[in-house]
Amino acid sequence: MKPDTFTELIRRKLESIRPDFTERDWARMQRSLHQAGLSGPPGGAGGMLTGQSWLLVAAGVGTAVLLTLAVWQRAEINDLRQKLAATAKAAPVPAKPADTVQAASQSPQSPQTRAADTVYITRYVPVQTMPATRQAATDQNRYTDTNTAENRSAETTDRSSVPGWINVPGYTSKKTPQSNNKDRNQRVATAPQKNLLTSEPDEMRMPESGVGKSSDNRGQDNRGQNAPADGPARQNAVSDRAVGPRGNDTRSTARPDRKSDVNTSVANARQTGTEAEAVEGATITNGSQQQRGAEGVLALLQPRQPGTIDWNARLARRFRRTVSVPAVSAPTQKPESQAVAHVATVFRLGVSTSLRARYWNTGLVAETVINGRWVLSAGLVRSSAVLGSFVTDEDYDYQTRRNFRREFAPGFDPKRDIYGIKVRSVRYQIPLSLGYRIPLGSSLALLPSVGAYLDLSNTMQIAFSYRRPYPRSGYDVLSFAENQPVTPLNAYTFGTALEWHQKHWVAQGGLLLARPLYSDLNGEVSSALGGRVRLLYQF
Amino acid sequence: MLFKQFFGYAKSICLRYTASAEEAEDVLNEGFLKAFQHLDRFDDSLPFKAWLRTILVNTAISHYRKNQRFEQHTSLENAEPVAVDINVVDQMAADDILGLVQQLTPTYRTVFMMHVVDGYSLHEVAELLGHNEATVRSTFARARYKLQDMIRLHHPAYVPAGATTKNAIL
Repeated sequence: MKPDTFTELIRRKLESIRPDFTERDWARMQRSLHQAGLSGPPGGAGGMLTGQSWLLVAAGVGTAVLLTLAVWQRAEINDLRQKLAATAKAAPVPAKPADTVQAASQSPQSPQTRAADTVYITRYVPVQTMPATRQAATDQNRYTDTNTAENRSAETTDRSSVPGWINVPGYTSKKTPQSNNKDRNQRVATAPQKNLLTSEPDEMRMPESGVGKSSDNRGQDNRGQNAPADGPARQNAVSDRAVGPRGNDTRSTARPDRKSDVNTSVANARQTGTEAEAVEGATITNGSQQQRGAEGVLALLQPRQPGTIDWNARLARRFRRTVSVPAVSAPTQKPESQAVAHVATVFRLGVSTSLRARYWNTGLVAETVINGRWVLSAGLVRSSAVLGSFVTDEDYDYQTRRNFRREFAPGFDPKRDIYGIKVRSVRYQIPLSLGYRIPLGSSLALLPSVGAYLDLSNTMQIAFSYRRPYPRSGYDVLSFAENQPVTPLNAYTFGTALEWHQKHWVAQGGLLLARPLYSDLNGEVSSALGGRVRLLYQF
Repeated sequence: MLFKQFFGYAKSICLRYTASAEEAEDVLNEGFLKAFQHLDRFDDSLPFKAWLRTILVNTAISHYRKNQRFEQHTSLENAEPVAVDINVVDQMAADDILGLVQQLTPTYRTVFMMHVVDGYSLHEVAELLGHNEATVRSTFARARYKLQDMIRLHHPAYVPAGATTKNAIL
């Protein structure tokens, strides 16, 4: 349609209008900017952040929950580790398999250290041996088989007498005749007479049948149980000392922190001892504690020369060792049962409803019970509120100090009266709460809690009546809904409830005090006391 | 300062699409708010006035749609063609004409302003308002007659009774 003169005149007249700027207009604009969260310069990012503030709140709450769970999980893991360590210390040592028993005999130790018997050779370093050593090696090869067999016999005997060790039923041990032990015991019994005559330490004296002399003696001694002078009887004697009349001898007790090679060296040093050395324990038993301590230190401080140890023989012996599947013996006693604290996280899901003042909400709620004490709950509820009923729009304006027509009916015919105004609010909210369970009985608990309501949406529902236009008579009802701006944090809540728990079902009921963070239609911020009921299913 | 510089221009647009100065201020603030929030989308190569005008008109249309529910209950009086002396219109003050425009129903006012002042075709007006084009044409004609009738009522001395003068227009 072509513009005619009339419309052209109207256009020119209307476009010529230029209202003047006043400070009141800018103040009004600033109020709008503040309400929208744009307090900074126009176009800044402040508004964007404020617009997504509910996302920030949700992210913050989620982060806090995850951090809490992480800290709690860490504490639980540490607690379980401590309990596991305590249980492992208190538990009895199970029967050792045959293979382990054989290896453990090389160093008579306490049960705890025998478990660490296995030595893994990762690198072999050939060492130029001395002539005396070669002679010893020759002799050693000669005696290897016999020595090994007898060693095993002695080991088995020793093991059977060590407290805490259990003979495996399927394991046939070659026990040394009792007479041998008796002989050794007799020798031990007679030894103090000789030893008392010489006050020098046993390790400083020469072995009766030692191969080397003087300084070579130690090297010879360190060659271990395979040396010619180290007969099986001598080994048995040494082993018997661990279980003999002086079973408390410090030298035969465990040194758990030492490596197996150290133990082996110490054992070798003892095995190369003379008859007098074999009975040194008796001497020490009768002697002072200082002497015993010094002797033990000397035994430990004997130079260990790796080159003098015949690793070939040891490796060969290890290969000859029959590898048998460890016989799993039945536990001699039932392991102790320990009550584990209730640390599981329990999840609940159910329905919730609450009523306070003019508000009523109902919806789904999920709860997480942490450690049986802390209760963290979240959900989605629909909250309805009757904000007010007014006779006319003038009544609304008078009571609320607002303008109904301008606020809700700007285009409505001003000549037409408005009656029976009802204003309702419908919000979808996330109720969050953190509670602490105080058990009152087997199925009853007290649950004080603090929480908050987060708004997801806010819709105002308005309904009013008006007189029908002429010539129609009577009244019509007009109802409509308007979306309102959403404030992320709606209200704080403080509540206490009684919780009844039966199998999988949990019922909660109690009081709820809500402190809103926004004003109602009258511009008032007032706390409201109400009740809350929840029915939950516990998984 | 952007707001101060374009306040008069923006306010005049808002006044044409609303029934009162208070309502116009609401639309004005909402429109400026949108402009500030989306200032990063403004193309510097285009004039800012045109961009701001588009925002304000769209804001006014949104405002119209929000209040449209009330209009169906208001009576749409049948307007008859009225002869108006063009000299009378020319002698009228702009504020008087604006006052008459603001007394139109929201639909009449919006359609008339979009087509006459802001240059939208009736087809575009129909699309923007979500109405049938024929309805919009009819509405525009009624709005025009209504405005002429209002001018005649407010200035009866200047309107020839028989509308037979050579300057009379329809």
